[in-house]
Amino acid sequence: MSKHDDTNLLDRLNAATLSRRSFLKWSAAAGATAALTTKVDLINGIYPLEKALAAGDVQIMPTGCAHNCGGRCVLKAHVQDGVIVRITSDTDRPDDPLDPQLRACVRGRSYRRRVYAPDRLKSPLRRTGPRGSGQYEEISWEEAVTAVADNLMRIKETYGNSAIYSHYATGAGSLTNGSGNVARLLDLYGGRLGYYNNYSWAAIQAATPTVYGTQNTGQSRLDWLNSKLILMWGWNPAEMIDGTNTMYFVKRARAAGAKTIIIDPRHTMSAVGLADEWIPIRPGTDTAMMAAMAYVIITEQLADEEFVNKYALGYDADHMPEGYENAESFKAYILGESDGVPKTPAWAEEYTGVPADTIARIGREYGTTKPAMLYQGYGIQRRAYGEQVVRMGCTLPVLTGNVGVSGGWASGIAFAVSSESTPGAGFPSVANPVPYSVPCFSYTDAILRGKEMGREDGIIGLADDEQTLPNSIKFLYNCAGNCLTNQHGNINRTHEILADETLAEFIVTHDHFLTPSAKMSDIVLPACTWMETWGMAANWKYGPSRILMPQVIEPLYGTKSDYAIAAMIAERLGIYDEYTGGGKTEEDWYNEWVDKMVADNPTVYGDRDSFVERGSMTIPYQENPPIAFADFISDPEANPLGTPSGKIEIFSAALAARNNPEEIPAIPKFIIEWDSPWAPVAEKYPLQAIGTHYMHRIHSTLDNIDWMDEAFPQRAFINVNDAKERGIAEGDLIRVWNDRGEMKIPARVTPRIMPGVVNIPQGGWYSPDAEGVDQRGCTNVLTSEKPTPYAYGNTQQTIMVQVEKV
Amino acid sequence: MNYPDHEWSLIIFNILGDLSVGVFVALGIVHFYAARKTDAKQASQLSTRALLVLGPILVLGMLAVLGHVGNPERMFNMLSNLDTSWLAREVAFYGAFLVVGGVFAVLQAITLLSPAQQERLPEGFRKALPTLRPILAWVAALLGLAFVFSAAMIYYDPRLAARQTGWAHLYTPILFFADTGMLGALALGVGFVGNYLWLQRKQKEPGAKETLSIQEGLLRDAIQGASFVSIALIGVLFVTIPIYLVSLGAENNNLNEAILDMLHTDFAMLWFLRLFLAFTGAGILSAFAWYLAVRPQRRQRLFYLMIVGAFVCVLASEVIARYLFYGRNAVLLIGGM
Amino acid sequence: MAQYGFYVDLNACIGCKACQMACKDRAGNEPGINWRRVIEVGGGEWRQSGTSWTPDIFAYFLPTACHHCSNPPCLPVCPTAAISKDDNGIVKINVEQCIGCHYCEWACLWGAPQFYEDRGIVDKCDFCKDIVDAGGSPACVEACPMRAMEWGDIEELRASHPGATFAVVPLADPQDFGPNSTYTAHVASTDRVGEILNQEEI
Ligand SMILES: Nc1nc2c(c(=O)[nH]1)N[C@H]1C(S)=C(S)[C@@H](COP(=O)(O)OP(=O)(O)OC[C@H]3O[C@@H](n4cnc5c(=O)[nH]c(N)nc54)[C@H](O)[C@@H]3O)O[C@H]1N2
Ligand SMILES: Nc1nc2c(c(=O)[nH]1)N[C@H]1C(S)=C(S)[C@@H](COP(=O)(O)OP(=O)(O)OC[C@H]3O[C@@H](n4cnc5c(=O)[nH]c(N)nc54)[C@H](O)[C@@H]3O)O[C@H]1N2
Ligand code: SF4
Ligand code: SF4
Ligand code: SF4
Ligand code: SF4
Ligand code: SF4
Ligand SMILES: [Mo]
Repeated sequence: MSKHDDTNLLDRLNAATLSRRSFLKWSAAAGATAALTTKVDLINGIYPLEKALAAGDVQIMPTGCAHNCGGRCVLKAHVQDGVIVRITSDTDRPDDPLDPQLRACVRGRSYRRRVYAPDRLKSPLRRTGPRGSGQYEEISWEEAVTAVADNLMRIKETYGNSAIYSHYATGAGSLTNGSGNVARLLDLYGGRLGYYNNYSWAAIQAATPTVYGTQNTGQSRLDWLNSKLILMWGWNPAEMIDGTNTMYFVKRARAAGAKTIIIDPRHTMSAVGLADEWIPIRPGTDTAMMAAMAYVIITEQLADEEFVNKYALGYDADHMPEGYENAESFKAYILGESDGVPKTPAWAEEYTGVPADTIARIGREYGTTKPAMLYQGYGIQRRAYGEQVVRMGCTLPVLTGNVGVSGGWASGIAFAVSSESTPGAGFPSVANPVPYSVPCFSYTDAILRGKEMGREDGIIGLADDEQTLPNSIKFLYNCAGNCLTNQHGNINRTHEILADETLAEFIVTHDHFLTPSAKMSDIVLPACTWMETWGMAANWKYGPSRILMPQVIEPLYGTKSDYAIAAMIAERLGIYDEYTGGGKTEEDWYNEWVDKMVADNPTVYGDRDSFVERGSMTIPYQENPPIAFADFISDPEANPLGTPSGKIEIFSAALAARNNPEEIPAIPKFIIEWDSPWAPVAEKYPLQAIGTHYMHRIHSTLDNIDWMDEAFPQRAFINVNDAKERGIAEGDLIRVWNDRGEMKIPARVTPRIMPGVVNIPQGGWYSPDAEGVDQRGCTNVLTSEKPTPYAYGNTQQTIMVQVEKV
Repeated sequence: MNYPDHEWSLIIFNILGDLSVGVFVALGIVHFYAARKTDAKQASQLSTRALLVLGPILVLGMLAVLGHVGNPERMFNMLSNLDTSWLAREVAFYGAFLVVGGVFAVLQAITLLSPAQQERLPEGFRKALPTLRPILAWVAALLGLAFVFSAAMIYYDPRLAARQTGWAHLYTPILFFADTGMLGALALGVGFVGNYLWLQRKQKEPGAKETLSIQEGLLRDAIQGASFVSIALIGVLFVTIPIYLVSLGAENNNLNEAILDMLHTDFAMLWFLRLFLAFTGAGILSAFAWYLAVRPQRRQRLFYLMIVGAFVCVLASEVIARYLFYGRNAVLLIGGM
Repeated sequence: MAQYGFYVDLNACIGCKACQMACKDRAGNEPGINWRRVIEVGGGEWRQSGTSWTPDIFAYFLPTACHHCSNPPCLPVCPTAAISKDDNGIVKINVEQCIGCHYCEWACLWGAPQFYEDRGIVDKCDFCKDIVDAGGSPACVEACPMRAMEWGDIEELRASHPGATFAVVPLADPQDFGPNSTYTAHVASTDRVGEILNQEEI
């Protein structure tokens, strides 16, 4: 493990011993005196293998993993004497290429270490010190839920429902746990200020339809086996999963003959195990490289102009949308006819750091290899002008005729058109009576100045005669999220806003741990994990699966599911029956859902007992799956797209109407980011930083788990050259800072990242010292709250910093 | 990785063990010589007290080795694999040496009893003592040497060769035996000096004067011998070390390179100190002691100081040598790197 | 007598450590002890010309555990006879017999045996003997999401993966111990020698 003991770690260790003691108390109280040592051993994971084997009587219970981790896998809990002693995965059925096992990753496999983590929240907490001080007292459930209900009633009465807000939170996707339970509660209670967007895909989900009129621009992963070339653009499925088995499908595509090229500032896990070539690129400059590839494709007559002009608008002057005949076409921009700057590989080299010949070669390769895929990751769009890279990435497949063909890929968010999804069930849906929604990334603004926020801030749902929101946020609910602070842009600013009790008057969090977001809350409610209640999960982006998650162990320390907590609050709000459907428990709901799924889809689920025994259901892949846009390509007149013109819109009239050509151009363009090597900040902060989605964690979930910290320690990854310049050696503690904040973190000096770029994996728990310097490497001390211009999405990958040895 | 940084308990065990064996063997030689030159009584006068100090040292060694193992209460398991394990053999020989040497020491201690007390022992036993003692002494000495040999074989063992190339070299047994010889000889010299000073304090007793002068003669002879042995052995070591280093370099593999690299980087200072102390103690100071020993009546104090100084230097040097010996282990990780 | 062994296709290994964690979870090992671990190996330089950067770097991952040697040096040196080799060639430590003398650690070239401070013993990968004897697969192998690992009779593994070798940096030269892991070397390593990049993790 790390030799760098920071105070944060020490604190945690102290906390760990403390709570281990109280755990002992708890065990003893449960009357398990005889089995006590065994239990504590088990719980700390040090139960020797021999003893575990000798003890016998292990029950293997199928469940699943339901965090926002990029996948959804089968877990099997081995339960002995009411304690999980081991976790395995989907191994009891054949690993059929058309129905591959859902094999858990390192995070799901370490899960018992999280369930039994000594710092689990054990009792409801009420804040005693100032917000953020972390000072709490333990209170009873009764007191806690009453406090939440009273404040809900008070704020509803004083301001109205639109002052109530439940923030984006992705901690649990298992139905009876997770933020949905709170949304349903608030909706039944008259509603809340809603949000739209997410922190994952804001720009790509907004930009993809501007080109294609839909989000369903992709197809089954099985079709990747038909591709000859896959450009993995900022895409790192080996680490971010992107649907269980995605990396495995890339492996199979390679085996079937596809060449894979990764374009990423980092030599990623995918670059090692999934790629034939790796091209490092400066963050935020992908659009420039793509434009230069378009230049090569166009000037070397590799563009399928007939295809483009048949299916798309805006490519050249002769194919512009009505009313924009004289506007700048894509071709004119690329060739430099409109702005005098041809987007040549040499031009792009200056920005991207990629040698011009390499750009030209990749342009040619993509222009000549058929069919070819350009797959976009999501980190590239969590940036200042995230919309542009998406739109440009969608344009290249159009230029090369890779849309609507097997083995091709239209790019964009690329949800699959195929029917590879298993039908599910869930709580009855409730509509939110409050019409307004805020882009989730602007939620702090809605606290600070909600009453001044209007359409220009991305507010939707305003009536024609309304200019702004009627309320700022006064009641802030955070269930299963760490996005109040830790995962949101610019922590120091966020803390200032949340600390002001005249703004958000009441903040409540449900979690398993006292996270940085929980520490900003007035009441903290200890949830149980999904191993301790009943639920089920569906796939992440890909994978036709439905995973049952029956209760595996009793809730520890009297913790409760998010559903049960919300139900207690509902009772005090007088909506218990509506909320619980007449008093149903988690298990009742679970049984109801399973019954419904089996009854509605007998061909999928077969008989109930065997489904429940197996614990999960996958639908085998069909050979020759449906291809996105195949119908449009075969007959565009009969099958128009959902865009205003019914065609692919390289030029978007809707964007042009925004009248902000500098930031929201109608054709995709390379725009220099506000924080970039070419911006004034670069003088003070010459390095670009990114915060990737790390194998250690699911965002901030699992940051406190020692098994994971050992396997993937939190480090600032810095290039050998940059480190040398600064006298930094492997393992040295370094200071990383900009005008927004500062952190201290050990350096990992590696050749596997581009010079000029530092990676601080996102999700470390913000742990400030007395001077406010973060000790854990929480990327968001460095990030901005500024949204992207069109989608109002988050821009948390656009960061400039300076680094020095401490 | 959980390689213990340095094996302090093993360092202590090996040094104490080798020292004990060395002292025991040297003692036998001196005793033999002294008995020839004077008589058995004078010889016992010289050696028995030194012998008694060995007891605690041996036990200390045993305790030290227990500090190295994780589960001392299962100590006797260590005798389960005499067939193939040099470690099992080492422990067995050490234990046997401890027992036989201990019995011998007890028998030897009888000479310290007053004649009246000795009378009270059973007659047959008293009669057997003169034959029993040398047999036990020889057996113990052989067990001790077998222990040193097994200890060296633990590291010299070619089964560990690929990993511990630095260990599987003739240097290892030479180091162990030279160590045994030097430490034993010099420690004995120190013991004799102590013994002599103790006798000096009892000068007033009748017959003490005469004994004292005989003892002084014996002491000077013994120290000449000890100095000679340590000078000779340091000579052997100083011939072996360059050969060892050259052969490490010649074999040209990563491990050896790492060891060499370590010796002239991280451990350079220690390595230098080790050589310097060994040379000063076993070489210069021993030579001085020898010089003073052959010229009686001159500078008594300085004479004692030389021999004590020589021992201290050699002991310190050996501690460093063993530290470096195990330190080599620490640099090696997952084989080849 | 069969001799079991492991095979890993290093071209498919993404270094995800699912194998390492599956093993750790089964064995219940505290941080600091890993019977299987994944070494990151790499090296190379960056070349700047004008505004562009060209990497001449490479990396690969190397999952490794006990190799259940045909002629295991750890076995004969053990003073307590705690180490045995079974009919399938599995080399196992009987921790009830072990005294924790560290000698097998020294004998093993690859750091497989590891010391447990709290229990005063040494233990290591046992090829999931309980599972394998009962007809299952080792936990690490069936964990691999890339399906990069295989286990079985080592001769069969070698036969079905021509070119597979144990000579992968930084694994030490096997000499005559007969380690029974075999790897398809990563293409990036055919003409290059790297160094360990994740020392603190292993
Ligand atoms: N292990 C792990 N997996 C996860 C998650 C997690 O927390 N941990 N979170 C899940 C969730 S909710 C989401 S939304 C997804 C996120 O998935 P992504 O957004 O795709 O993941 P990131 O790691 O942010 O970025 C992917 C890659 O883009 C690279 N990159 C960053 N900036 C640029 C750039 O400007 N240009 C180029 N070409 N590359 C760039 C990074 O180096 C990284 O390798 O991951 C999911 N999967
Ligand atoms: N700098 C930077 N910041 C980012 C990103 C980035 O790329 N860079 N990525 C963003 C992205 S894509 C996302 S999706 C967000 C994710 O941000 P969040 O949605 O906040 O996700 P987590 O950090 O995983 O926090 C989930 C919390 O839920 C808790 N939890 C888990 N299970 C349960 C449960 O069953 N019940 C309850 N009550 N609590 C539970 C966990 O303990 C954890 O504290 O982060 C965003 N933040
Ligand atoms: S990929 Fe996600 S669902 Fe699967 S085991 Fe890992 S964390 Fe759990
Ligand atoms: S790898 Fe090491 S522990 Fe395993 S059998 Fe070989 S020598 Fe013994
Ligand atoms: S540590 Fe245990 S298994 Fe290893 S050699 Fe010593 S007694 Fe044998
Ligand atoms: S075979 Fe079993 S014990 Fe050995 S490394 Fe794999 S999981 Fe661990
Ligand atoms: S699980 Fe497979 S891909 Fe992951 S590190 Fe282990 S061998 Fe490599
Ligand atoms: Mo996300």
